[in-house]
Amino acid sequence: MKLKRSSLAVILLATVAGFFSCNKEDSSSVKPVTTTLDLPERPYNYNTFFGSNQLATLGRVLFYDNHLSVNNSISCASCHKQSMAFSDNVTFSSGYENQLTKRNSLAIQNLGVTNFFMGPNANPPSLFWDGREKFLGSMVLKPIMNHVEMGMGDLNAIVNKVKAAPYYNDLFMEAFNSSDIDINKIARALSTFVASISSNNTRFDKAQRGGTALNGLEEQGKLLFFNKYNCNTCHQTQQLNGYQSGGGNGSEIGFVNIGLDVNYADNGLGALNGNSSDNGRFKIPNLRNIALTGPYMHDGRFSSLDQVLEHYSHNIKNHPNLDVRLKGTNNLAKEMNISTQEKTALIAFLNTLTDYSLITDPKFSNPFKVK
Amino acid sequence: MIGRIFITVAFVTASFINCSAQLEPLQEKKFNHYIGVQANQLIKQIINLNSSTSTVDNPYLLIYSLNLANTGWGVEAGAGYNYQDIVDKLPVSKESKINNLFYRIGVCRKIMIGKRFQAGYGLDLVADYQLNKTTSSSITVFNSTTDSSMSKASTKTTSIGFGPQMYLGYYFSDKLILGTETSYYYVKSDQKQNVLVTDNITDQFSGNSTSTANSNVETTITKFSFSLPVALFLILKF
Repeated sequence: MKLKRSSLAVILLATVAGFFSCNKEDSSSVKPVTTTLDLPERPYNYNTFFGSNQLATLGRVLFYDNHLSVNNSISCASCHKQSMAFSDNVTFSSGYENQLTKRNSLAIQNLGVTNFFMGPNANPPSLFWDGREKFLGSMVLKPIMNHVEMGMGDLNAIVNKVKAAPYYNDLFMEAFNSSDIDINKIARALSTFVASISSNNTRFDKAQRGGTALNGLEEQGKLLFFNKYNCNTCHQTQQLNGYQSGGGNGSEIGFVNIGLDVNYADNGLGALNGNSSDNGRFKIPNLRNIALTGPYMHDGRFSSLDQVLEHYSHNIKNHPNLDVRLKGTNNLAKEMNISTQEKTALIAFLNTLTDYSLITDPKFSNPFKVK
Repeated sequence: MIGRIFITVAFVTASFINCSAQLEPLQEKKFNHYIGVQANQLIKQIINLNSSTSTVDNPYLLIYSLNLANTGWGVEAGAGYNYQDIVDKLPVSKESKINNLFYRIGVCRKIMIGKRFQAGYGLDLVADYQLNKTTSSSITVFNSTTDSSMSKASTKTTSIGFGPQMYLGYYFSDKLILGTETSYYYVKSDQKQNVLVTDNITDQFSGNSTSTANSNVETTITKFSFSLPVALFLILKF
């Protein structure tokens, strides 16, 4: 028996040692990719209210520039892809060292509507899944500084990297009439570009404006969305910002607990402010381009809209902070019992919220073209 | 790859234990040995669990415990290893090699609840070590200027911690148990990072310039880590 057990130990150790010996070699197959910064002679028209087209162009280059990460390996656009309405198609995105982020990448669209119009003394709806930032100007620097995402960790280091890149002198001169570079100018350019990313040309928008009509299935889905299931009480798709203020008795506007879990591994707003009554509350996402922005929820747990609807249909969990709109008359989690046909109609309606002009517009595209 | 290896380890382990058990003399046991393999991937392959939504956050591939047969008190250990080689081609050529080793030791007690269920609780000391080496390379052309960039980032993270752990097992037979566990660990991590970036800028008019930036950053992070009971272990008792 002793012999057998020691043999077992030897095998286990050999297995672990085998893992290490396999990975000991530090060879790398990295071969550089050549890109060319390709900008139009006249800047695109970004329709920005708080910055020029030159400023938005500078922001576009910064948004796509890998030099803004500590090892020149990723940009803002690595996790916010134009083809996915500036979200990511994975549960968690990869940072500069391929470490995974803790939350699913939110889509960037129509953020200017809620932030820039409200002025410096306003109290706009908060940004990020847990609302830890209120203003775009400070929000745009957070992923660059984050130790998992772009890893810069030091504002001066960002400025130095931008100064070192050969193409920024001209771009700053055009945007600010001065080639001096500082962190406030970088933040202003980035936030101007981010705020310019707007989605207002979906089939739903066109139908609202009296243009293209929705088909029968889409109209049924719209009615279910706006009336029977009242999805619109949280996801106000007719508004460009896509959600309404209010979240039950929450302390933050636009943040709700939708009963994803009985015990949340990530408490969202509650983890941020330490208030247990905010546990499990997350930002209500904008449903524009929802067909492109999966996986869904803060942790990307649902890979399809069908799974999302199934959650609301049968799987809402009872949680002390569950939003009142998701409770039945008995104060317990609602079972919406959405039928298969209704799900098909709802998904057909949600597909009308896709803005194809946003995802193909060259003014939002990567200016670093691969040769 | 790892899935295949742990299935192999589980098979070999089971074979050894089976042989050992046949040689066991008929006498009252003083100790019970439990050896387990995390089996989520295996179970996923057998049963298609598409609706499973919780991330498995238990890093231990193998667990072992030695418990007194009469009181249930004993010692336990766990080990896990993860290796990833991630290669990106576009828009930047990048490769990350990530090695992660986890281990723990602790004291625990296992008690039977009825004939089929077993519960356990214990206190663990945990440690993990991670080494991440990332290399990236890019060339950017703008008008007459070419910027060639090469970077190497190396991050070592060493973590230690402690905390309570609870276990629940179901006996399929006298020797085969399906178990799960939950834990709440206080973990302190020390991270040392070195990033070396070399930029070579060539301009048709003003010539070449090379700059090298070498940054060393050391950080300490403390956190409470809660592990949900979603990892399933196939456990052999002997």
